[in-house]
Amino acid sequence: MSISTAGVVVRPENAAAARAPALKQRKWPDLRRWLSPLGLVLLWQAASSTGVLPPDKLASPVTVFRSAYELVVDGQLVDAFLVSLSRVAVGFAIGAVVGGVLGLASGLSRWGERLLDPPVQMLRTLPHLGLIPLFILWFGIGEEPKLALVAAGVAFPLYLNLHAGIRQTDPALLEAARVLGYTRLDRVLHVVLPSAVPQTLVGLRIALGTAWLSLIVGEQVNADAGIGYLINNAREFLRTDVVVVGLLVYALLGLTTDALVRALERRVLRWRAR
Amino acid sequence: MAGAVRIRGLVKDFGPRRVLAGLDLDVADGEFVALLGRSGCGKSTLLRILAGLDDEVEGTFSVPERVSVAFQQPRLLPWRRVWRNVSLGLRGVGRQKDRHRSIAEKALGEVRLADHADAWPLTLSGGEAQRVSLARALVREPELLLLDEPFGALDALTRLAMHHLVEQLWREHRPAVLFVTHDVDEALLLADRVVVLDEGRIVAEHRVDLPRPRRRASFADLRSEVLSNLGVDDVEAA
Repeated sequence: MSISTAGVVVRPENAAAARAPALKQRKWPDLRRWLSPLGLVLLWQAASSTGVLPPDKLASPVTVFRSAYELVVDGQLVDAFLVSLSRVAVGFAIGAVVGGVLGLASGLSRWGERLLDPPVQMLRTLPHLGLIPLFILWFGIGEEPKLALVAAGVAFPLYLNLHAGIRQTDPALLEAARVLGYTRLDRVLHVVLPSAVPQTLVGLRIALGTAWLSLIVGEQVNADAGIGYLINNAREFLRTDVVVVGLLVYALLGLTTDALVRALERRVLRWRAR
Repeated sequence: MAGAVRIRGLVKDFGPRRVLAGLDLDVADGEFVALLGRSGCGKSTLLRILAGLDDEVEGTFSVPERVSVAFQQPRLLPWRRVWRNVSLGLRGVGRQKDRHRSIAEKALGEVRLADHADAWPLTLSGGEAQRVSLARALVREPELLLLDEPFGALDALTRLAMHHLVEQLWREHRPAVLFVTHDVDEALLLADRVVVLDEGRIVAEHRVDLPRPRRRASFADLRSEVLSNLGVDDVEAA
């Protein structure tokens, strides 16, 4: 279900696996690995065709595929998609600015760390998805609680990883820059921030995964547009095919943003090459 | 002869421990001085003070305007290509940006790494990275070059090649050199003068008046003398 989106995105060690010698094997994907997924889909179709799996529990793959096509053609899916995407984009932007500014402040200044880190560390232990009731009371049931939920999901992982990345800067490199005449500002720009990039990108991937998860949960609350609305609407009419289409779109979006960050990692972290 | 380094009564304490106990030392312009001592004798501390990395000291010292340091580890920025790491050394020297590349390439040529200008530091071997670090130190045309056991982490064969390279670079650029090491042979191969440090003060000093390039056989007697300064019996000489 929706958890799978997060499961794919939250694993930072994927980055390590993609870097090292796995590269060679990657060019020739082992097609045998597709046997069992394909088999499962066939089994699902067989169960639906024979009536073992009734359509009001789960529609058949063929029906799902057909509904997806229809939803695309009549524009419903595209509209819903764009609404959900813009929610994630705006929420992500807000969260990234908050997480980024706080992370920089507490990473670069001792006083910033003393003042900011304790409350942020305390707040991050709250499961942010549990904040919905409060967000509804604070922001109503319009767009704002959805954006706030996404922003909260983004700000924490970004803060934590940016902060950790800055703190991990190798003091030996800072010394080397100092003897070369680099001022404190120069050292931050040329040494501290570049060395925080890998960890920050890990944070970015986690943040994007959480952003989608937050959106899915947020869209369960009185959405009048977007993919969550599409799914909830379909539930009322027992349209399991449309529900599955919505879930697939969520999964696809999660995978796409993850792939984008990976591409960014490969480009920005070229220097880590073998 | 004007002095590149002049140190008078330098005292440095780490808590209750006195690391430098009123040290006096002069290094002439273009002179190659090796600083020998056991670990913990204060030789690296002295270098860090001269590099400006530690200013909580008593006593006085003066160093020239352009000082470069090469550390035991190359300390290259891994996210910058090799030539950009070298041109880091040009900061504050006041040359135009567009000339940096050609200056860096020339410096890399001197350490025989001209074809590695666009490589990433993590792809270099230990010896290559240390040569880049030397190029970065020399590109500033320093009047004083501080070497903090720069070959300590290299294998024996690479060390031999590096000795030769450092001697050659020193002859061409003629900076004053303060070379911290605990390897007596290395010191006697390269230095004009060997200074032995113990418990924060100078306990012995030897001028090495031997023609270069030197051979190990030529300084056997001096070697056992320096070793005895360090409290080690030279079995080979006996």
